[in-house]
Amino acid sequence: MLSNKRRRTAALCAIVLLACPGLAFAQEEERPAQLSVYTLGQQTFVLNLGLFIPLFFQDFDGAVSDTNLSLGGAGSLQWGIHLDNHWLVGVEVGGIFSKSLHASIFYMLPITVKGAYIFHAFPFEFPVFLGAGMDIVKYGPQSHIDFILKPGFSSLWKYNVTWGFGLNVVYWWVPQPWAEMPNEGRMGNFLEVSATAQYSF
Amino acid sequence: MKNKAMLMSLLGALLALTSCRDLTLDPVFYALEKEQPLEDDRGFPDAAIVHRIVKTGTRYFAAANKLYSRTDGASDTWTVVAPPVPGAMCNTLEVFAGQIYAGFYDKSIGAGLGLYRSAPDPISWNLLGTGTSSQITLIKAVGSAPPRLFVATWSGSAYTLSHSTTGDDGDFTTVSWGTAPQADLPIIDVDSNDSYYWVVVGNAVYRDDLLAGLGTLAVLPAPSSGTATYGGVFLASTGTLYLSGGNGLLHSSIDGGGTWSSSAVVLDDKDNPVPFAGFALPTSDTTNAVYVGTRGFGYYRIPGGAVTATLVRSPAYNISALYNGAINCLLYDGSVPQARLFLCTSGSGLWRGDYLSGSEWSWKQE
Repeated sequence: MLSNKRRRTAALCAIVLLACPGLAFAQEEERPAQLSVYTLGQQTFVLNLGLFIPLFFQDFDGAVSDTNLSLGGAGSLQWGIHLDNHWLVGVEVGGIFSKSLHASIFYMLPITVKGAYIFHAFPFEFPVFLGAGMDIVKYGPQSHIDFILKPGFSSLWKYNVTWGFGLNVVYWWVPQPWAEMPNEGRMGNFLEVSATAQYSF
Repeated sequence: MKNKAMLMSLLGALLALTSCRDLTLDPVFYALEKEQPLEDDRGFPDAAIVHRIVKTGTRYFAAANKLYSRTDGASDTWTVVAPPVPGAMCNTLEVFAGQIYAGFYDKSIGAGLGLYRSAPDPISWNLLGTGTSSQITLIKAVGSAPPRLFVATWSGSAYTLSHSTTGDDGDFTTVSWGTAPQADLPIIDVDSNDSYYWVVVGNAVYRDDLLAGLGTLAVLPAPSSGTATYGGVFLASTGTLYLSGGNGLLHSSIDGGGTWSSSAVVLDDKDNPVPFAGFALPTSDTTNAVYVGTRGFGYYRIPGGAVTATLVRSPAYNISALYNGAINCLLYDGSVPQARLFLCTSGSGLWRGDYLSGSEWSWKQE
């Protein structure tokens, strides 16, 4: 009884596949999503360009205040190397500019090392990442080098094997402690929203 | 183990890099947080070169090539005062015996038009004979018993210094020098305590030792200003005499210039000595604090009037037009409900500081 049922099912599948060969190809086209897109040693260059959104300053007692900065511009270059289909490590060099209430230009130039985990949903990828490193902060005659932490995520559409395009959302956390006058220490909180172009090779 | 060493090296490098900061300046985020809008449009041109500002009664006058005036009302705006000759430019002024004295020059050829006098309101200019064909480079009222008006002129080849106790036409006398200074050295500043008169000419200080009236001015041994000219001389109401050097040094004397104290270090910016200029004593600040302008480095505060103390450059560096400003003149006005300090800049217009507390002022561009 069971054996007959299996035979009928197999026969029905054979008929359907013979009648509709496209289905078989369709299944084959979707199969790469299930396979590895990246392997150990593959490299990626990424260019990001977009907006720098000042959020707030916070002192080390928790009080929050306005940054008095305008919406600015952000840009960065990233090189990364894949460890496997999901993990990527890299370095990123970027910069932002923004205008103060006094119409002076405020700059930050972060240099970070970055680790990312990539979720795949072909033809899309969703890297979730964390960067950490140093941030050169410049405003008028004053300049610092501060620590920076950059958690964020991207949504990428893979145009083909080589190119991908998408959007980044990155939170910038820049603590600026000031040992000489601890009450003047602040933590900078900013947001980067940028378009991204990725080249893999 | 190797990774741990690398991580420690990276952290060490980051720690070392965080020390690359100017500790004399506020941190960037703090400075940004404290910023206030600087615009307070009172109709004064923002890019003007302001030579001098004075106050008589309730009215300010500012020489910024054009002569401007406004009352000390909280919301009054500046208006241009008609010059005595169409197109004449004003480069200096002073209040003496309730009258405005102003020096004008011809904009098109740069030649001096002489010294003019007027009542403050309404303005009606009268040409005085002094320096009629010369450029007026300095007008300064000093002393109180009697008050005396000094006028320096430039003929194109020589400076001349005259003085008068009335300011009337025909009552000006050329000062007598023991050893006359080089004719083309600018006469920079004058002050007096009614006993002594001090005159700064180029990089030399002269003093009258007559101790009554005004006698012969002789070179006073004073701390050197190097090859740079002095910036100004100032007798504070505390009785201390201040002298500003062009070489990053400030000096003070409590005996009229007999002995001097000098700043402990040469103040500089990236190894450029600060060229100091004129002084003010804003009495709303803490006791005896004296402010001194500079040519390109804002102003410095002398706490307690002691030039040997640590001097702090002001205002905050994010007010870059003042922080890097050449301050031609300071005027303190303590007669209004919120005391004011005016700073005349070369190219960044006129700034008003409304006193807050301690050494803090809220700065607005007029």
